[in-house]
Amino acid sequence: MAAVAARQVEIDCAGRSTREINQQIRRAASEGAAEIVLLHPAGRHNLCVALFDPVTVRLRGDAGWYCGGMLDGGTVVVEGNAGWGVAENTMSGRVEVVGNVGTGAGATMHGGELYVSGDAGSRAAISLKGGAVVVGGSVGYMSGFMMQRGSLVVCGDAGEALGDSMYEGTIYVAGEVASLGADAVDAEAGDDDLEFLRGELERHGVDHDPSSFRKIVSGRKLWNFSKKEFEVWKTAM
Amino acid sequence: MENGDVARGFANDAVAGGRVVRPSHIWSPEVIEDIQEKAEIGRYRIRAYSTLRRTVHFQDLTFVPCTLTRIPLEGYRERCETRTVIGARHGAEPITLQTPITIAGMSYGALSANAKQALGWAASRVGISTTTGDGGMRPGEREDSNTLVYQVLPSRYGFDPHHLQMADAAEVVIGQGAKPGTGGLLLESKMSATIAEARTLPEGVDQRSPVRHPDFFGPDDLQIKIEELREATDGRIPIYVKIGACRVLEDVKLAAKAGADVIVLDGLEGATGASPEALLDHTGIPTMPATVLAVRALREEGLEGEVNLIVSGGIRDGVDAAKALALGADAVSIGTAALIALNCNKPVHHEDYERLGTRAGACHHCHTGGCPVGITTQDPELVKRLPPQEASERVEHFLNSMTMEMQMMARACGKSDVHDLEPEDMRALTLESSLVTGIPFAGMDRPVAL
Repeated sequence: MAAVAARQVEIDCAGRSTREINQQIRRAASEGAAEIVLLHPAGRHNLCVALFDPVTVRLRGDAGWYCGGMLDGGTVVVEGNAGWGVAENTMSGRVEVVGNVGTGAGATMHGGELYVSGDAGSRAAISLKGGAVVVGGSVGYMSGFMMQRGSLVVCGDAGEALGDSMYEGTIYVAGEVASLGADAVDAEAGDDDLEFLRGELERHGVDHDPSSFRKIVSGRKLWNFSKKEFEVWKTAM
Repeated sequence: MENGDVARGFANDAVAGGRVVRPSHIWSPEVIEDIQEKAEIGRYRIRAYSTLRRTVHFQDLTFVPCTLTRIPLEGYRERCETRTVIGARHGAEPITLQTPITIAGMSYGALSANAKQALGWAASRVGISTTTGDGGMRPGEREDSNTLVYQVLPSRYGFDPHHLQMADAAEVVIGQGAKPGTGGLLLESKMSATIAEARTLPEGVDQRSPVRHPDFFGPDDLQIKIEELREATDGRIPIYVKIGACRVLEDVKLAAKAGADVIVLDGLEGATGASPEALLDHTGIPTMPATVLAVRALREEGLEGEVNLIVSGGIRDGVDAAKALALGADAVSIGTAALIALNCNKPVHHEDYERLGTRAGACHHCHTGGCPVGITTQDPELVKRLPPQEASERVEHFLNSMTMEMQMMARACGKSDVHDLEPEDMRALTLESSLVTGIPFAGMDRPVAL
């Protein structure tokens, strides 16, 4: 671990165990580091897990699975791609991936923000409980599955079964939607939606017209069983 | 010949219009009622508890205590150890149970706050663990329970990494015995504003939890997930993996390979707060044969004693628990038995049982939220019927009785530690139980084998 500048710390992942790296991150953060740079992350899993300190960790390279998982308050920037479950169950804070990510991006996030500049695999924002997942590219199938609250913004295309069985929350898609999932329905975007989108797009430097996004919400037919709506339920039960 | 002659000698309920009634075994009254109920409600039937079927069970085994061939310990006096230490496989701080029993995961939502509190207090006094459930850690749950296992469920309702770090162990739930391969269910009547907010759900919805985890699927993925949980807790706490009993031999090996410190194996008799009835009755395998397979799996992998095994589903008393230990489990987990100790199915408030369409002793209506004794309800008036202090004392007494029964069996078999019980201490009372356990059928000197 080397201090490069005041309140900035470098950690070389090469030759260190994941446990050692995460312990050094927490120690540096508790000692007041403002930014921690991880060198040679080399696609390693479970980096920056359960980081609760208000610190920025910058990965100079690819991350493996669960990068920034269970984050609460910190910022993680991946200068590369990330594997499955990036930012999973984030409570607050921010994860940014300057690249593509695997399946389950932002799964079950309760709050905070995940921004992916490239594409996300299947099941992005699955069971989202709060916060925002913004994807500059496209997302795979079953994204927004069983979403509960929060927002998923997709600047590219969305795969099949988008928003399947959503309870609540909102999905915005600028490109093509392969298909909507069970009980996911189109809704008209209002001023609040446009304002939200404008803010998100500007913040991430994404050039898109907010009014070009399609808004998708829950049809709420699956909230409670009704034998009169079997056509909806037969795919959802 | 008169009709009355035909009917003579038969019980009244087997006779109608003077003739003997001949009900079908295929289209029995139960089947007819089932079809007509489904024709009315337009979906599968939902209820709580566990299967109503007779399964091969621990009751099909009997202990063969010491006689002249072995020397027993004094049944009411000599020391018989029950202390159980689990979860040390990967260097975490292990869990110490004063007796080899745990309270299974049951959510605040499925259970009332008073029920959860009573279970926590009882477990703490006895020196065993309780487990959270869907919806996460209830406010006060950490304080109520000295040893608390935090579940990591597919839904992640209420999952909070701070709570994970406060826990003594984490339990990754792959499935449960009552309904393996499916997720949790909490119906509208129990989805109060409080429960809904804890789960980030709209009030009054029928919550159908996912079955697949959102960020991993198979055993290789599970290994990385377990490592993530270790990173989140700095390796301090043991990681359990809970599975419903299906392909036990393979599943236990895979869970162990994925890094589980403790495997919780929940058999067909395992119960739940709400489930499609078809799943309760037609999925999974019973706890007793599942235990045998799990022990064999760990033995084949050379992990017996290193990966600990907790079995659950249909454990009714200390004798069932002692038999599970004799088959090789390190501990048992109880859910329904603990609820019954709380007062479940107690013959009081008869009118409320009737309103649910049932009676005390046969109530499995937890899913309705109308629990007459305040255990599986969120109705504030019903919850008042379960004062937690009194209720916790009943559970404490029951847990103590289980410990005494386990010790009694162990001492009678000449064992000074309940964990020293072994298959040789038992005989099978049925051919089925002999076949699945490899224990000799009573009266034979070798196991029944195909």
